[in-house]
Amino acid sequence: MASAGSGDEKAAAAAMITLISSDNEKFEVTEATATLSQTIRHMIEDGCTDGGVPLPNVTSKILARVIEYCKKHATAAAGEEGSSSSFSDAAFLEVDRAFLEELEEFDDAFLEVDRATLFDLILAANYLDIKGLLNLTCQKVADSVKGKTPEQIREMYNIVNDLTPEEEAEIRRETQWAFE
Amino acid sequence: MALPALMEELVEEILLRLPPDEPAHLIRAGAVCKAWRRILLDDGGLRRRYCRFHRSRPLLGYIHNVGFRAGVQFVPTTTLFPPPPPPAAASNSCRAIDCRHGRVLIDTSGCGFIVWDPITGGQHHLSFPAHAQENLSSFTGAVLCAVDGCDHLGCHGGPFLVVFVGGSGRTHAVDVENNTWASVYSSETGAWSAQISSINCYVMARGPSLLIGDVLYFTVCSKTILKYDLSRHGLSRIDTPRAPYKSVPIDTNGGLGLVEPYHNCIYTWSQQDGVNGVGGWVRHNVAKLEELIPTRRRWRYRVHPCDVIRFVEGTDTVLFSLNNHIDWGVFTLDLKSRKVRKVAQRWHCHILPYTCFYTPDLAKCTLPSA
Repeated sequence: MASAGSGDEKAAAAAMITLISSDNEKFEVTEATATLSQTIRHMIEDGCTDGGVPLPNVTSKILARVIEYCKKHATAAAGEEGSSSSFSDAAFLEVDRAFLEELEEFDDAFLEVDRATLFDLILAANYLDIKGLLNLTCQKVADSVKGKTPEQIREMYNIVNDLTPEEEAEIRRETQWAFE
Repeated sequence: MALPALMEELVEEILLRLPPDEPAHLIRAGAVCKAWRRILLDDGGLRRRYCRFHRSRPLLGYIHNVGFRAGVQFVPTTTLFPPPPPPAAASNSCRAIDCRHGRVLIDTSGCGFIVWDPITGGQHHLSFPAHAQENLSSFTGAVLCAVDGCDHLGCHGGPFLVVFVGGSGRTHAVDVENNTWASVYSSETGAWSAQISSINCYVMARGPSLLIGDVLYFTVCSKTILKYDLSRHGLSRIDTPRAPYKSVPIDTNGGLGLVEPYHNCIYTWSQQDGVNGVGGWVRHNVAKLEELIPTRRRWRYRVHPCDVIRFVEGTDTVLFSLNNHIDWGVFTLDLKSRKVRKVAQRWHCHILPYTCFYTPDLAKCTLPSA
């Protein structure tokens, strides 16, 4: 992890990486932003990023959103590192708290997307191996599922009911209380 | 609107994040389609991940000792259908005396125990240790999972231990010798151990026990907690600042503490290092009941003599019942966030919290094998 250490590390943090979406759009991002993705981090470590990183599974529309998320959270990670040395300082804690609140607000606003985009973000987060984004998006879907009936869940997410009537009857018989 | 299909591993990531405090969420998700059902019933694989993801067992309800000759009852605090108690425990003058790791220890009229798993319906009958037949004036006990290195997040149906603490004393007068001993039953061997380390301590109250690491704490009599070390097989006593009728032991980040309702407040106690290694007890005010449960009436809350408080092991939560002119029912209180939730409208006096991760594969186990 790049930190306020040697000059070389600082230079590395400022290095730019080019990401190329499936529809061939190019995005210039800092290495600190790009390495929130473990997939890209490994590519950088292996020295396979010259000439850009092709991401054939991610469209430009989704990649733009993913980069927006990574930029915000990379700043947050850098902020945390900077303040950790003065952990006992109340003023820093106050700043941290305000920053975390801001980050939460950002995440909430970030998730205000339609369901198709949300699923695309889950697929991208999984492919790029961005743990924070995968957690955020999967939690959003889980929150939308809880308290819903199986019929409502199928309708929300276009899921075909392929359970046989016998299977459905069995589930209801075993756990009728969950459907009342 | 066309949705991209999610791989099963991503559906699993979503289902993992359904909150465990309401078992119906997972049950209903298991009725959406074959793929979701397959993931949720995956041979315990998802259950293990689900338990580890959420870390602390959620409260599903409490065990209620209904009263003399009325038996034991499971009162759900979620939509879970109350599992029927073992027939022997519903009709006799049985009392649940402990509850841990998904199992309930029921005293069947002073001659034996039933270890009952309310979720799977499993039950195991055992008699008291043979040496308890002579000169036993009072006893208490605890049940726990026997698996070494188990995280106790999802253990059901495995081997268990019952720790029996018996006393021959009939008074707590200081000049009377009260012979108190322990014995441990292992479901694997089906036998009780020999009597373990007798000490002079009067066993009077049958308050709840608490497990911290390898140590069980029993509230036994006035201002005394009995400590049983499961790895060293030793009994010892700890003096507390309060009588055990109201205050119960709690786990304060791995240390022994107490929680008690007193007048209109809920207090906790923690042990502090003192001079020469002799620690003292320090009282902390958690909150006033008026602040926890707002009321428009002008009266102050006062704790009823029969009100009880119980610590939910593995959490920062206590369960308490309240019975006065302002409000009544059973409530949970998070000792850290001070959030209160009413979980039962009725007032119940003899209660033991029941925690468990209820996943659809567990629901299958409750079916009679046809």
